[in-house]
Formats: sequence, structure tokens, C-alpha cells
Amino acid sequence: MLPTFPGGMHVHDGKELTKDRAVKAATVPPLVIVPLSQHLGAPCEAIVKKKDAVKRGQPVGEAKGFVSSPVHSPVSGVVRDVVAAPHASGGKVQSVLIENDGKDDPFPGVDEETDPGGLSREQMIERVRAAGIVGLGGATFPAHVKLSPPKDKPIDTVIVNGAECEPLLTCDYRLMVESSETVVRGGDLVRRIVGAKSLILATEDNKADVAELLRKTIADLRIPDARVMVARTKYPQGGERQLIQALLGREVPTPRRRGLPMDVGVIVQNVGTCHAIYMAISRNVPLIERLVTVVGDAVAEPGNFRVRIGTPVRSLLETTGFRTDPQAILLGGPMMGAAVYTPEVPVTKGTSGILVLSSVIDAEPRDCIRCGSCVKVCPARLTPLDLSLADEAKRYDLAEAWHIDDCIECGCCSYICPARRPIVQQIRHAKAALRKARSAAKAG
Amino acid sequence: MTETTPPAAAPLKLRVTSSPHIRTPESVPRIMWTVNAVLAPAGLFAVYWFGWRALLTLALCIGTALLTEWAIERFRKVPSCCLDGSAFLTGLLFAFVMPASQPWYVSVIGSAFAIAIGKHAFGGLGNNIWNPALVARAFVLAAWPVATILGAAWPRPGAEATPVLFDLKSESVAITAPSPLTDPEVASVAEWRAAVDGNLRRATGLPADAPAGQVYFRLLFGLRNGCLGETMGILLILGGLFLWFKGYINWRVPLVFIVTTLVLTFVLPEKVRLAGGAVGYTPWLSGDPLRHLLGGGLLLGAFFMATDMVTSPVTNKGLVIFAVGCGVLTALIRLVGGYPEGVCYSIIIMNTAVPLIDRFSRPRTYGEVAA
Ligand code: SF4
Ligand code: SF4
Repeated sequence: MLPTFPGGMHVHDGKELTKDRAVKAATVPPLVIVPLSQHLGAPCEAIVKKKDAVKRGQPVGEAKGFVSSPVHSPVSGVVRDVVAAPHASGGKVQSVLIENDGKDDPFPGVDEETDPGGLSREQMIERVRAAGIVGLGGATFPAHVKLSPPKDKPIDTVIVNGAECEPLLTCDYRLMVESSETVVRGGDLVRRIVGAKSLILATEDNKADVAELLRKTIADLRIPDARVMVARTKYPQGGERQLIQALLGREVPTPRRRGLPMDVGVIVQNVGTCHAIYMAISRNVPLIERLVTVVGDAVAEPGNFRVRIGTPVRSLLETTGFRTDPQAILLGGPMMGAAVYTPEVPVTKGTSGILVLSSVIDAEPRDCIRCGSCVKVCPARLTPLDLSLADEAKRYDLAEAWHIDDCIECGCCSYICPARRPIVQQIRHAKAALRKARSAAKAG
Repeated sequence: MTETTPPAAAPLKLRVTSSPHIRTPESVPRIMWTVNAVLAPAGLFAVYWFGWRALLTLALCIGTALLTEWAIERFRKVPSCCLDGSAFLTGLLFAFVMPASQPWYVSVIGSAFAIAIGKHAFGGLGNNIWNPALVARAFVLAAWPVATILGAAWPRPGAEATPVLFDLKSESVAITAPSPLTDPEVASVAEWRAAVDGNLRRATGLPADAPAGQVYFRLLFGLRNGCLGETMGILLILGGLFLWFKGYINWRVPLVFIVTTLVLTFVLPEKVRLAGGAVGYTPWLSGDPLRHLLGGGLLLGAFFMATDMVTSPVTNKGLVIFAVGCGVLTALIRLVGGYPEGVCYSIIIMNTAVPLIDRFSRPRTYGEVAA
């Protein structure tokens, strides 16, 4: 029996649509939009101004604080402006607009090869930080923070997360297929940095072919204490906490007590992040491009693309074309992706997919029939039906007592509900109300 | 290569909806109609076995349920759900737990009661505390005890509707016996067993000296008297397995309910009514669990009533507690209580306890590590 975690569910993954489409370089647009906030934590501050000339890989936003991450120019050209521009979050975010001169001139030092063997742990972490690397699986947590666990939290295992449990997305899969060596080497570097003993490359059994390839890569590169683990395909296996539970049987303490994977001696990094870490440390390449799956029933030519950060979604969709008029564009996968209100929003560090759909779900919710399905699938082992009712009754105190803060917003409950209740939406609403009440309590 | 069209010239009209952006194909109507479909064979068998009276009772119960649902939803000014299968199911289940021979007004009033009081008085489907069909049964049993005494009236008098499958002509008259679970009154505890066995044979239309295997065979295949939908055990079991396979019922409920009942009815002594109003008890470990499994409404109750989503707990742990409770109460009511049948009341009682069970069977949140 392959390992997996309790809860969760099977969703038709639809990966066959793009799985075999090799990564193509997307057109670099004449104008890129680089938001100053593409990560979890404090937004960065612009360090360029209108009319400044910039090179590819040059920092344009400097991190404010430890839990923050710098941003770089993905092209060479001239800064048109620093303004608030549409962002995937729904609002507008301060962004650096750069006119591409088409020359792609690198910033001094970028692309320079270095032997990581000669770097100290601190030097490597600094490179990762300076390269603006954040979790590319979608959480966008600054990678250097994860790589600096406090001394009293020894790490024994590094997990390279190639579960890619979101349906339809295949960019992580393509990365593993096409760049297995950098992924493995990146994972190995992470292990060196945190001083862990074992390295696990994790994937799911719907990608069994890639497991073989990774095994071969490990053997070819003679990486010691590294193994490939294949989990039974289930959503949301790619969730950090779920993956750790599935592979190691360890339960990460609740976020209510600030529990983190390092509390159980584990660090999880997405395959894309590992690749980026390798590129940053050994080639001094900052995070200015990533792989994106473009798919959906309204897309004519779905596929996987290497996209410069800051490329407007519209520009990418010009390459793929529409089959029908889209009714919704999502950044991310169908389970957790966020719908955007305009195709002008740029691809950011956390954009793993662009989903273009010809229709959206328009179901009338009805009263809960207490079928228990949501309880069964909830990987956080909550009772989503109660949280949904608590939000409806505005009893946020009850929602809190029922551990609403442990919800990872995976969407399983809403997906499975036969009464079509928008449970996750209600949970987000209740969480926001609680946050507001808490900050009011702090202020008052 | 597929033909690609340039992006729409007009600005795209995008809709911003909340994730997740895909949903299960399952829905409340789909679940309800599936359960109805699964119960249909047992209903057809009832029509074949009990004759046109069964058809009339089914039609009246289902028709009244649908009409009541429609009328109340108009009155409450809520969107009409009368075709979502749930009212149909309530009507069907109410007919199933009543004798086919019940008077037409009992069908109508009981079924209307199930929908109006059993369901809508609580706020509609999902908010009711008790299984509507069982509440209605409890109500009509209290209101018309004589008209509904189970098994009192055999619906196939004479030979006018001879089943084609089995020739029961000679037996149909004989099957006017009390239900297989009826407690006979006997002179002494020692005679009780023989009296019960005789009862069983009469209830299944067999001669007094028929072997036990034949009795249980006929019980399993529904060749007995009893409530309209409860007789054909094998169809109920197969239907229940199908629902489990579809994920519409949790296997823990029927399994634990049935096993608990069987173990207790075997282990515990049974109260015996003795002539002259005295009572006696059978010895421990001498019960006949098969009679309890196949003779009453246990299979129908365990697979289709206790598993009602609305009125049962939501967690696996809660469902097990709930099912144990149903089993214990069923056994106690049957063995020492005042009624030969206990499935209906035990489920109603356990329905009442569901909020409490839910409260004490919350799952341990992920990461809530014992300190
Ligand atoms: S309650 Fe939260 S964690 Fe649980 S299934 Fe719903 S979205 Fe996922
Ligand atoms: S899945 Fe929907 S209907 Fe079922 S218990 Fe949860 S909220 Fe209620």
C-alpha cells in the first residue's frame, strides 16, 4: 500500500491535457509589471524610479524585514513607472512597470557559475534571499526563512515536494521530467543548508514515471541518503502538513500554537523552489521566471510555458488562443486558484497555473443535509458543516472554538458538498471577521 | 493544431468566483433519487406479494408526501424542492414501515404528518431532528392502534392474486398469523420456544413441522407477513450494499446496528408473557438472533432509516455510538419492552441524542497533539 494521509479525496486530475506538452519559452512582452509584493510577508520597497535603466536580474525592490523577499527586473530596459497596478489578489499593488528593450542584457554577476561546494551555509542562505526565492508551490513563503530554522529545532529530513496535487496543473511534473538534475541538486543543497540527514523526493502515483527518473538521477549523481517516495494520489497531498503526515507519519503541531514543519524536524520545499535555489546558488540567477501551466476548456492550445515574472496574463493567452469566450480566469489550480477580474494582472512568483474557463459554477446552495462528507474529506479534521453554520449565524466565537484557524482552505469541503454550500468562502469570511475582531481587541 | 481565434476584441467580461472552481457531480437530488431507485425493487416485490393494496398504499403515501411538500413550500415561499426526491423518499419509507393493508386515511394523514410536522415544522430538509417517516409511524400507531396492528390484516385474501413465482394459493389463507416477532402468551417458559417457532411457521405460511432452514429461507426472501417494505430481506441487503458502494451510507451504521442487536438478542433473556398476567424469562444465551434479523424491520431500519444523513451523526465515531445505541435499544424493546418491534422507536430515540453525540465525537483536529 502506498502511503497517504487521512482525509482528502480523489478528484479527476485532467493532467493528460498538458502532461506531455514540453515546456516552451513564452514570448517576453514589451512591458512587464513587477509587483512589489509577491510573497507572504512585508511588501518590498522600490529601489528604482521612473526612467531608470535596468538590466535583467537587477533588483528593483528591496525586502523590508526578515520575512520579506526582494524582486528583480525580468528584462533589460527602462522603468516606465512605479504605480499601483492590478494584482491577482483582487486589488491593486504597488508595481514596477518596465519597458523591455529586447536586449536581455544581464545585470553584472547574474548567470555567473559558482561551485556551491565552496560556499558556507550562511553564504548560500544569503544567495537564496538575495535571489528573491519564495515557495513556488503557491504559498510564496520566503525560502531563506525556511532555510534558517532556530538552533533548538534540528532538521532531520528535507522533503522535495513534487506531489502537485492540484488537478490540471503539470508544470511541476514537466520540471521534474525536463530538469530532474537541478531539482535533485537543489534538494541536496537545501539539505546541506539545514544540516539534515535524509532527503526525500516525493511524488504521487499518477506520476509514477517521474519517480523512476528521479531514482535514476539520484543514482547517477551519487546523492547519498536520498530516496524517492511515491504517495497514493489524493488531493491535497501537496499540502506541507499532509505530505509530512503521509510520508513520515508525523503530525505538525497546530498553527494556533505556531506549529511549523520544523517542529517535527522536517522542511518541505516545492520542486520548483528547489530548482530555483540551485540556480540561485550555483549560477547566481535570481527568480525572474517560472513554469506555468496554461489550461482550461476555453484555451485553444494548452501547454506549459517558461514565463518571465511580470508577464501580463493577457500576453500569455495571446500565445495559447481562446477556443470560446472565457468567463473566468484563475491563477492557480481549480481547487485553490484565485479568479482574477482582468487579464492585465501579471504572472507572479506564486502563479503555478492559468486556468481559463468557459463557465463558472452557479449552484444554489441549500440547507446542509448533514451527510458528513465534508467531515470525512477535511484533511485538517475539522467539522466544516459547523464552521459554515457558525459563519451564517455570525457566531465567530464558535468558529474559533471549533478551530477555524486550522483550516488550510484546501476546498475539499466545498467540492464534496452535495448541498453545494460555499463552505470555504464562508470560512474565509469568518476568518476575516475574526482577524478584524482580534486587531480591534488589540487596539482597544 | 486546433484553430485558434484571437482574444475577444471587447474587454473580457470575467466573473470572480470563490475557489474551489470545480464541484462533485453528487447532489442532494441525485442521492435521494438513487435511494428511491434502490428501494424500488422491494416496493415492486411488495406489490407482487401483498397485491393491489400495497400499490394503493404506496401511491397514497408518496402522492400525499409530494403534494404536502409542494403546498408547504408554496406557503413558506421557499424554492420548491418537491421533485428533489426527498419527499418521494419520505412517502416511500413511510409506506414501507406500515402494513400494506392500512386504511387509506392512515396513509394520507400519516404521510402528510411526516412532511408537515416531521420535516417542515423544523425548517425543512436538513433541519429535522427525527426521521420523518418514523415520526409519522409513531404518530399513526398511537392514533389508530387497531387499524394498524401490524400483520393483523392479511392483504391477499383468498386466491385472487396468485403470485406467479410461487404457488401460495394454499398458504395465503394460513398467513393471517401475527408477525414473526409477535410474543405468544404461554403457560410456562418451557413452552415458549415451541410457541414462537409455531408462530414463525404460521407467519411464513409453512406447516407446523417445516424445518428451520425453510423458515429462515422464506424470511430472507420476503415470503412472510409484516410491514409493506420490510419483508424481502435479501433485496434490502443488496440495496444497502449498493448504497454503501456509492458512498451514500456509512457501512458502520448498518453493521454495528445489526451486530449489536444480534449479539444482545442471543445473549439476553427474553421476557415471556405467561397466562394469567405473570412474566417469566428465558435463560441467558438462548436467543434466536436470526428471527430478530429477518423477522422484523431490522434490515430496513439499519440500512435505510438509521443511515438517514440528516438525523444521524456526522463523524465515524459518532455513527458507531449512534448505531450501538440503536442496537441496544432495539434489543431491549424487543426482549423486555412492551412492543414486539423496537427498531422504529430506538432510531427515534437515538435521533434525539444526535446533537449530544456530535458534540462529544468531534474529530481531533490535525496537529492537536496531546500535550
Ligand atoms: S474546512 Fe478547510 S481544511 Fe477542511 S476541507 Fe474545508 S477548506 Fe479544507
Ligand atoms: S458536505 Fe455539505 S451537506 Fe454534507 S455535512 Fe457537509 S455541509 Fe452538510
